[in-house]
Amino acid sequence: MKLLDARGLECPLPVVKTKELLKENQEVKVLVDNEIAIENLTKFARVRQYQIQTGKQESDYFAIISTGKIEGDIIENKVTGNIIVFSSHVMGSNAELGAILMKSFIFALTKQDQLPSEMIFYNEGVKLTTTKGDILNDLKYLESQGVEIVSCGTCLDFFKRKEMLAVGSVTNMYDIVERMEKAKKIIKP
Amino acid sequence: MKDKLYCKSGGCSAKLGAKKLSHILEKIDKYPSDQLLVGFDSHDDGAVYQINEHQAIVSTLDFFPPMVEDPYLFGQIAATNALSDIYAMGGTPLTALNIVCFNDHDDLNILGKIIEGGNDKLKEAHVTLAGGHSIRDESTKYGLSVTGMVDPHRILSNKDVQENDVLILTKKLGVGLTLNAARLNDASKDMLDEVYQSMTLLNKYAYDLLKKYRIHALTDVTGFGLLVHLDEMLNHQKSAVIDKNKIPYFKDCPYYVNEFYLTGAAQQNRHAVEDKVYFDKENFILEEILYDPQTSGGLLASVQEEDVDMIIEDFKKKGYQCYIIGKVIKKDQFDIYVR
Repeated sequence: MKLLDARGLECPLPVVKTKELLKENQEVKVLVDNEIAIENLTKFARVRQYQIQTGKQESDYFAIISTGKIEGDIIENKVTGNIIVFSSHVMGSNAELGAILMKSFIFALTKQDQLPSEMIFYNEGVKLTTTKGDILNDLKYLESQGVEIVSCGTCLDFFKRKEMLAVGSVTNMYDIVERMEKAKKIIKP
Repeated sequence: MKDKLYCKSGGCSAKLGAKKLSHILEKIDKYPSDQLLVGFDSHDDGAVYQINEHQAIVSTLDFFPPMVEDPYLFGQIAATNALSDIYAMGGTPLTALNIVCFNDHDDLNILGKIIEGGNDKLKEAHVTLAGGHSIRDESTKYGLSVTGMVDPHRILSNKDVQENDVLILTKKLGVGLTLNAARLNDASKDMLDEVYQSMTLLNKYAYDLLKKYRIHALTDVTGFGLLVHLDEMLNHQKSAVIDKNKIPYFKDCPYYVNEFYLTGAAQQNRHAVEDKVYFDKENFILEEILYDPQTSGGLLASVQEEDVDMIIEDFKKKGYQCYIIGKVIKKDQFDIYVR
């Protein structure tokens, strides 16, 4: 692993220097002295689809960025191989209560150590991926953590919500069937 | 040998973050004045103090470390930027005082060129340089305090937007990104020429065209980037929809974003408003451009819908840039929608 001491450097230099080093090194550990630099490194890793682990080291911060798999057991796999399916935008039969429950269900998901690998939305479930608000923000967060989010295209068309899809991608029933068959476990709230 | 300034992270991107700042300012117990029409609390572009029924003083101050190596150009940019706040308040600038920090081990001719650049812009704006204050400092900083007059009934606040107003912007975005690219020797000469020209274009010209029309709110876009300035303008009373296809930016900015020439200030700007901004689709490049800190950016105006065609026509006739970027809507869940 290549070490880059970028303390004392102002943005964008920590990222730019990391970018240069990653051309010749698979993995770079960067030391920086401010949180903004860590955030910019995180954005960089996300956009380039590199792996990143960040942390604090005394009064400084570090990031380990890797173009391949990170060596050793620094990052354990956060996703479980489970799939959660959403056939409705509410949880249970009472719609008013169900909306509240769904919101806390998805929020609680974001707090889990282990996340589902995929979340599939069909029928009225697609309202969750097409309505702005806290739920959508939580879904976006889950997606950023590696959870794949897909919504049924027929359903989006049916509810005239195709243009409004704000997280994840569109899929079809063949794909949904395949995904369900491959799943370790299917969870339905 | 050409005189060169040493640039680290200059211009308006050197501003302290908006969030941190308001935390401190809230605690300051100010001597109250009924004549102070616009002050601290409003986060407006300048302060306005009423003298009589028809006259008020508008004052502002702006200074920063160099963001370009050419001292004369730096002086021009600093003055253009400092004057801008007066126009954004609807005022006429009259006098200016220099603010100078300079290392006296450096060649004084450099300072001479900075001040000359500043003064040339003041002259262009018909503003008199009336004095200044200089101190020894390790690193160079320059700016001006500008005093102007405004009719108290015609102050242009930065936050009286009305529903259905059209939002227009008079300069392209991406100054911070381009200056970063320049510092890393990765900006083309064409790009730099265009950006330097933009930074030294007085907002006076845009203001003179706009003032004939029904402008409900006006501000200049600087270090906080378009989104933070726009959010201040909306003042939690209204929301805005920005058309993602109509954001004007210097053409190489997408490349700069992809190369991660991102300023720390842009990230602070993101922190300040990201909860209030809704992007219909993840668009990393556009987000970075909208959060990019501008040095001597353009005016952002919220104008009466019916006046827009004439405004655009006027700008076109005079050869100045003017872009419709969105409109003001009723307050919705998010302050700003980018779609």
